[in-house]
Amino acid sequence: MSAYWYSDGENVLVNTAVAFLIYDCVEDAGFTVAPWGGAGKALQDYRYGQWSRSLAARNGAVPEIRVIPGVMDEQPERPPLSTRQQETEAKCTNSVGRAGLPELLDGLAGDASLQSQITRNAVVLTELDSEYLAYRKSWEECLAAKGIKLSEQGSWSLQSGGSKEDEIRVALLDLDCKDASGGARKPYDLLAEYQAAQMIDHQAELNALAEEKVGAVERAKQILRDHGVADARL
Amino acid sequence: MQDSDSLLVERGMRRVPRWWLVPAALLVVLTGLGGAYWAGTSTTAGSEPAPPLAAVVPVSATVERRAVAEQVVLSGKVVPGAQATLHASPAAGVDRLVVTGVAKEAGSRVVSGELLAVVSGRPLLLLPSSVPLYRDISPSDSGPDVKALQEVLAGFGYPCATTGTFDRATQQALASWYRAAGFKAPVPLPQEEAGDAASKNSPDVMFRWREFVQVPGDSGTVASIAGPGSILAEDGVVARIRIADDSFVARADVVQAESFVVGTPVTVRAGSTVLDTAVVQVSGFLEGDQGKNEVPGKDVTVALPPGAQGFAAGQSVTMAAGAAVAESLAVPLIAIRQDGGIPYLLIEGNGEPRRLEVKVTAQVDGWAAIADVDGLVVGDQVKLQ
Repeated sequence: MSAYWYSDGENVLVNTAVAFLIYDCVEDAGFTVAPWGGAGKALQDYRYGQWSRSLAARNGAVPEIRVIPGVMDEQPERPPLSTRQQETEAKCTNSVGRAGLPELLDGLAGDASLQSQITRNAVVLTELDSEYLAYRKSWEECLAAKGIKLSEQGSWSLQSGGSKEDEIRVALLDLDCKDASGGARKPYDLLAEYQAAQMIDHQAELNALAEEKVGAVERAKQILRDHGVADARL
Repeated sequence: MQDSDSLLVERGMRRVPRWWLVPAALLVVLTGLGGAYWAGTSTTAGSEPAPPLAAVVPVSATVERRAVAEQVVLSGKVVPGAQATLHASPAAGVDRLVVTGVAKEAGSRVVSGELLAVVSGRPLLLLPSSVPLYRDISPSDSGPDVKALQEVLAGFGYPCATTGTFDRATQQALASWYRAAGFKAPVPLPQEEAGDAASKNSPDVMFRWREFVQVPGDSGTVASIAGPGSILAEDGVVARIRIADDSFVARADVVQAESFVVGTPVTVRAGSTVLDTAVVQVSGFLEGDQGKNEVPGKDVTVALPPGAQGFAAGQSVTMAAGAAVAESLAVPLIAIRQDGGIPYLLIEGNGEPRRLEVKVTAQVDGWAAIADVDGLVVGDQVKLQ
């Protein structure tokens, strides 16, 4: 499915291009825009909880946050804006909108796109899968034997004592139980299989979406070039 | 999860409203790959009939006989033991510090009471660290340093009562120590003399703190020492004493650390060198350092017995704890299938794969140990998932 969503880097390009267009609007209204820019961040996949022992040992149950290199250099915090400039920025944000660049991001609330629908269906199908159910049962039994409780029934998150040490300990024991139940990546793999099965039925539409994505990224790059961003950063 | 982390995660997962694009251009926070939100919402999504799964290329593995050991292995290093640096300092009238004799050499064991070296003609004696060294002591002086010195001299076997005053008996005991080391104890300069020296049978003796050095723990091994004729630098370093043995140290995550309590037997390996030793210390919880690729956890210190060969300071080692297990039938973990909580294997033959229920006795590093069972032998091919 990743072919139909923006990659982390592409998302930075598109968002930065939109921001340039908004700032053009603000400057056209007579305001000066302070230097801006910086890196982005992305979270690891966490649908079925922690899936890597090294990540659990480092972060406990908190998803890994990766830094995505930005198109623009990091800048100091922007100075406070006047009320009039804030109003203008809000107005420009509304008028520019996405500037025709679609939001192709996994996990957006309320997204009714085909990709999202496929993922939603795959999640439901995965949760009905007998292998998934056996995996989940084995995992829960293993956790119970170690005295670890779920945050709530059906959740993949677990209760811990609150200290960082205990959070990491619980996350590591969670991984041990997943390993003992067939591997931490098993539910992710099952999900991917259900996604793949549905993709076959919608290949033509997905091909069109892939083209739309490529077109959007290319357009974003052109906007960035037009605003002086060097090709090496695109 | 802590509050700040929760907020961070939620922010990362939330859709970015459009008015946010201006500050978002600064932060460019990606909603990215996360699915916690989905995990919560997707159960309410409509379902469709289950489509056929994508075709999977069958892959198999061979049943082996191997030890699936329940061992926890850490990566660590040889850490050099702590050293104490011993300094000489020039006495009045000494222009520079020159080593005029050494009583010890690198590798020698040193203990309190011994002579370490001779600098600019005067001895450097090893004084127990219980004596606070902060002044010269003249006859009739008193104080906690005098009392501690008296206890030390008595401990060395030089008769001396613990009066707290640098009396005649103490001076004689000190003189005896100097004599045993081959030197005469220093005497007070005329202006330092208490009372009328001429009226005494023997001259007063005094304690000059610059003629003593102390080693934490009162013993150690000479790591290095300046040779005879050496002119010491301004810092006056005359010797370095190793006061703790080298050791192995590894960072264990909090669960791994539970297998390394103090006293646990540990097998240390560096290349082909193997050493059986034990855990001597486990630290409290320590934060990690991502820059050093160091996870949060506990530092496990394992003893490196003096004289053990094949381990140099800084060398990488592995430290394994836990009992080795006898060999058994074993298959890759991904060959284990489950049906209603019962594990089974699919064994390939000429026709359809044969299903065989098995008992998994251990799982380590991607391998599962299988209890002996009829119908499964080494060399059988089992299907992987």
